[in-house]
Amino acid sequence: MMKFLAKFGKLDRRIVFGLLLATILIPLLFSVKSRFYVDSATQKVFDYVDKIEPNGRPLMISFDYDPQVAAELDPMARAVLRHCFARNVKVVGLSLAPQGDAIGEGIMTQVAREFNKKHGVDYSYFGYRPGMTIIMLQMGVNVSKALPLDYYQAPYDSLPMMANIHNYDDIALILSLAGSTYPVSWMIYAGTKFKVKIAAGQTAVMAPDNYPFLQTGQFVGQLGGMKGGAEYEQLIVDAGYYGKPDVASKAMNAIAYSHLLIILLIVLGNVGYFISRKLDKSKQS
Amino acid sequence: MKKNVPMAIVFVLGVFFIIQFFIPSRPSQMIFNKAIEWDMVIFVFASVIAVDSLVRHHIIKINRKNKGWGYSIVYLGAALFMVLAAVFSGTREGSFYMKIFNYALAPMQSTMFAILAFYMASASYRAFRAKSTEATMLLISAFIVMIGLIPQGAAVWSGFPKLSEWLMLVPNMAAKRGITFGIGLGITATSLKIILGIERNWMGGQ
Repeated sequence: MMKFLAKFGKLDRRIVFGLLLATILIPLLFSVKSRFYVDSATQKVFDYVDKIEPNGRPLMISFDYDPQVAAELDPMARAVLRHCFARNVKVVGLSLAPQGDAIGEGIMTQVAREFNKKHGVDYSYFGYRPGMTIIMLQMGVNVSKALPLDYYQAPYDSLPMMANIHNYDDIALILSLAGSTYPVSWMIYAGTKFKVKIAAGQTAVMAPDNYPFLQTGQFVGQLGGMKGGAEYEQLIVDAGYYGKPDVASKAMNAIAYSHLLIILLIVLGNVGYFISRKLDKSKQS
Repeated sequence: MKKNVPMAIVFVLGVFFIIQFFIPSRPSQMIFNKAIEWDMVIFVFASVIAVDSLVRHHIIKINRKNKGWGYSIVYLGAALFMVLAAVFSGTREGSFYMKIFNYALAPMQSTMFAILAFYMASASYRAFRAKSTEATMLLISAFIVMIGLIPQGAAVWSGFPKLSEWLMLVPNMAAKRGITFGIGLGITATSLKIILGIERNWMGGQ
């Protein structure tokens, strides 16, 4: 028995991979439903967006990410857009990452279609703007100079909803969705210098880095990883802005079971480690 | 000349923008606005140089048949293909470029990232061993954070999510803040060294 338990300390990695694959696939195939505990960082983003005046100052979403982290960040973007469009909050989209350009266009077009929103009137999308910090600083002075043409090459002045947007004073909130440190740059160059409110949507790996900025209020709130997306989906469903939870909630169930597997493996690994150490000692004595 | 002129530019502009940040008067604000416009122009030239250097790097690799030169052909071919697709089909929803982006590039990149999960599962299984007091503390924290993130954790005990959030908001944040202070001081020191000409690695290590 002891020898059998000791084996758990040295499981072949192919077994670990196989078990992980099963725990991810099974909940996805059988669409298990769960309710998530909403953490304070997600709740703050939701509350802030929920208080933006309809048809007033817009929310700006910056799609600062590549397809590799899209699985985690796309659901956040969709959930926030649905929240905005359901409340008639105008949205400005752009991307500071080259590949975020196409991602943003796909998501904004899809969600706008769901709510019958018109480009240039209810939302505007400007695509990729090269220059990162320069664009962040430029928009504090003059948005139309930083974004002279939209994604479809229409001039800034031809977009009715942009008529009253001159600088950050005319933007309610910037939400930077990223798998790297773009939100921190937004906070430094736009938030600190021009006092515009910033929120972050980050991958699970990056989210813990931002807790100091959440406590100081430099970030309004944060959506962290797939869980952040799932929590936001739950919040907009609970508030009656959208019919049912979307892909993040399904994916989060798969992630939940894989977390359970990892916890189990860690426990078994430790049991195996201590038993094999005991067996080694008894052999020596 | 090659050394002194860039160093003089860095010194003058570095000192000026430090002063500008703390004295936001009308003239300094006007210069700041002009500098941003110049920055955008410089960025465009820098991008051209970056693309040129990237293409050159791969062409040299292919010509010299260095290790992995075949990948350079794939890279250059794929990059050129995407550029041509964007130019000829446009980048609107439903265009050929968008189809390639959504059905080839995006799944390939997502797959690469998803593979990380398998390595992380295997690595955490091997690494989280209670070998010492510190390792045990790390193990317990990881256990609480992981179980607190999932609905099953809250079902077992409603305190798990709150405990997990506390771990992230207090001990994690204290450590992060210490690291951030260190990084901030490091950036300030390095910036001052560059402005004063003590650090010259940015000129190619001369």
